[in-house]
Amino acid sequence: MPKSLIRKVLRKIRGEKSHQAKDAFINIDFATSASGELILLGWMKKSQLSSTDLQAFDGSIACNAKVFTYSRDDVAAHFDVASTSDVQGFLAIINAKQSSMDKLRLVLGDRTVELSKHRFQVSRTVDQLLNHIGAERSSAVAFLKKHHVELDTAANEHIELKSARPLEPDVEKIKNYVSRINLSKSSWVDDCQREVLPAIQKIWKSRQSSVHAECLTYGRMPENPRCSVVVPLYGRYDFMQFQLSAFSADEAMKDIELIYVLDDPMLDHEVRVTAHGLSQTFSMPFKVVYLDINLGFAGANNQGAAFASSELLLMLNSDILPTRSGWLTDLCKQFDSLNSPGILGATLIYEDESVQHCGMQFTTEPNVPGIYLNHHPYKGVPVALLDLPNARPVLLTTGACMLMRTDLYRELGGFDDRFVIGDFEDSDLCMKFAAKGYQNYVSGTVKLFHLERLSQGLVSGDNWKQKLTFANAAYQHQKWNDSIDTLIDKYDSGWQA
Amino acid sequence: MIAHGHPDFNKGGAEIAAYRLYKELRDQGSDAYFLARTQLAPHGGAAFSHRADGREILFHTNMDDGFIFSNVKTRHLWKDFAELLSIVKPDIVHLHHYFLLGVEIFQVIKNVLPNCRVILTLHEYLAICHQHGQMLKTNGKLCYKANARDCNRCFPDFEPGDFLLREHYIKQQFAHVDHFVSPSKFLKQRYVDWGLANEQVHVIENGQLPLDQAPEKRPQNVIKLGYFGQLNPVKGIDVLLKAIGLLEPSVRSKLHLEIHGANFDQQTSDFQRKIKKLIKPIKRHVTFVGSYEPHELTRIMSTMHWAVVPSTWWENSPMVIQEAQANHLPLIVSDIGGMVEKVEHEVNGLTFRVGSPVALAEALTRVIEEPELSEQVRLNIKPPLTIREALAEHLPLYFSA
Repeated sequence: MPKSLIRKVLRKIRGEKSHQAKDAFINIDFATSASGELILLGWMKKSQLSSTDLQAFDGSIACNAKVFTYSRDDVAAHFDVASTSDVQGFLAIINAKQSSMDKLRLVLGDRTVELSKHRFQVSRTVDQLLNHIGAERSSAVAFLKKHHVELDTAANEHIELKSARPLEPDVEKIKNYVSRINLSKSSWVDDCQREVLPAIQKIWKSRQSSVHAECLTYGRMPENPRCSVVVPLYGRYDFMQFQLSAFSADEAMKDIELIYVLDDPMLDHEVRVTAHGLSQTFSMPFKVVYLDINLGFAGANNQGAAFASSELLLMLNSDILPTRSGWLTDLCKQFDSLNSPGILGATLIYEDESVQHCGMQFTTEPNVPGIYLNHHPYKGVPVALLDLPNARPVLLTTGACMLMRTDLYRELGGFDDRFVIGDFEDSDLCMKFAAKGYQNYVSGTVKLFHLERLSQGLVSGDNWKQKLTFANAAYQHQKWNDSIDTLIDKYDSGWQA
Repeated sequence: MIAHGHPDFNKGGAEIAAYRLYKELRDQGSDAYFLARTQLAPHGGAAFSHRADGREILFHTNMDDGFIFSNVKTRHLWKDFAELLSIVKPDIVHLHHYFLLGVEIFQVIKNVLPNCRVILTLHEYLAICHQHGQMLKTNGKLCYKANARDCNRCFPDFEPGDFLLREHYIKQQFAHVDHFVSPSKFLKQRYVDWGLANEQVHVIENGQLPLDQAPEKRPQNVIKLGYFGQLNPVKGIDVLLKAIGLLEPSVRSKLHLEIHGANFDQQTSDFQRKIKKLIKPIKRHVTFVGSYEPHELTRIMSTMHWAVVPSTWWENSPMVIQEAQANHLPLIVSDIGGMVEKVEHEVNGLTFRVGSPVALAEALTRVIEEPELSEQVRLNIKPPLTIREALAEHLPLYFSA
């Protein structure tokens, strides 16, 4: 449990105390499933605490919960309790079925926690979860064995766990606003621009200005870096480990300034621990910019870019992995060789070496009239089938990998953070460069893996995130209007045969 | 010499192979140390503890990510182990695993001792396959080649991209290994297909200790079969029991199976129930003996006519095959992977179609109806590599330019 998080939780408790003083508190840090049982790891607080106090319910029916407790002096130290008997870590085995996961509640004294609304990390195996117990691990192992929980779970019955990420109040408000968008109305774009956009952009903008960024350096940074690379992290911070391992093995990365931006304050502690271990193991130096609130794609990249010190700036996604050494040197050389380059993108491929991106185009969809959406031509085609030009002149290239001059990026104001949470800030930045007379390109010689998740089926029409995407598209339309077509005519020549 | 367990606590083939090689090095006067990972509780937060004579050290650590065998979050590798290396200053580190220790161990060795030679013996397909390195699909079918999308079908929790990340990450750590040793040609081929350089992987069998017990007599009236080793689902004990169940009663009456197996009580209750159910109708023909110590093997094997290795996964170089061959005991094995590499059908043993109780029943019928077969193939059994010979084969890897 990170100290910062304990403090945050404490603030929450103290805030509550003023109006509804509750004695007990439950915090779940990690969850996994094994041998058909749900395994939870966390800590609890209650006066006169006993291990039998913690109970689990499936709706109103009590589940059989077996609880192992261990000392959590670190948590106890943060409460003003003299005795540690009021605070304990717990490892709970709960007999829960998949079907009951939505209804599962933990109860301790006067406190009830609904699992479906609680944020926790999902551990892949019991063993991984046990690593967080510390000194009393072996007793915990004995406890699990006693209750016939297999530590190695690969072949066991599996409960799918979903950690709730409760929406922050700002995001909850944004969700309510975008839910009003009615796509079946022909005037939806105008309505959205008039009623929804001003409201959600106001919320998002004020958030951007209240952020606090802390930049830590790991290892010795190069003195005159050839290129600064900014990588935002959200959720999957393990991507950092894969990139650092790959970059360390690449001689050509020696003079690169690598800047991670943690845009996920909940992961602050885990990332600090991991970043330290990685810097002690791998030779690639890096910085991490820790943000205390989640800013979204544009804001996080802009925060990272503020720490960039070299002439060239590469915006890179965390789920991108090189296919070979020397890729960034080649990309920089190619940039230098191009005629008035704005942004140089790369060819991105999936793990099966099919195309994820080789340039973007605007497209219109009949189900959402009146706006341009971003389309990836040739997506899914085996990359070997395509005769990719060395550098394709395009209007648009994806935000997953964008190389440009740092001074121009700053001059143009970076990514526009009025695109709420994230979408279209990449096409918008491309158009900003084009409007200034710069030509954007996509490299056909530098190919990188982009390990996008498999899609989870079609998103239903009333999904608020999809509506937010459309709202952002409506903002792009409002901002550029007819000049989009002019820019397409002038700068998107690379697709002609 | 580094292993993921000490044979005093973990009697796996890899741990034993590592320890024997270490002992042989010491016997020949080498300045060798043995470091074994342990799950025992340490003294108040210590990373190491002492096992024997200042040279056998236990390493109290664990991975923080079992998917990529990573161990970076604790200080164990990059600080504690690095410090131990700078005290011992080995010229050569021979690892028999990275599992449980952390795959970054190669990187850490080269960080501390850039000129240290790093050798890794591969004991199964762990780097290639997330299913315990067995290349056995989660539906029980044999796997011929890892592929990110197919791996995702075995483990839907992991994205295809995750398997690419896993492969790249492990290969980047393997880049710090100077030589790989594979105890079987089959395993070597799987790793070469996966991407290791052919010339970097050397096939050296695990060495065997000399026999130290007087043999006993084989019974005359029945054909005695032996099953040796772990009793877990991929070892095919169910195939063997089903095959015995399929035999004609008149044939079966001339046969007796002794199961010398360990860890049955640690298997899932489903598996235990299944095995007990299979034994019930043929219990007159099966004796459950339990686990054995390595030094008892000569005596046990000398009372048998055949050993059966019915594994349903590829295997690498199963210890029981070598032990049986050291004791001139003919084998009946599944016809795949590391098993057929050492047992040739009708030459020094018999093979049968993997996973098929019918095929095994046919083989068993044959050994009962042709009792002279055992003696015939026995003559063709070549004794396996001794530990001394095995070490001699390692020396060029340790010392060559």
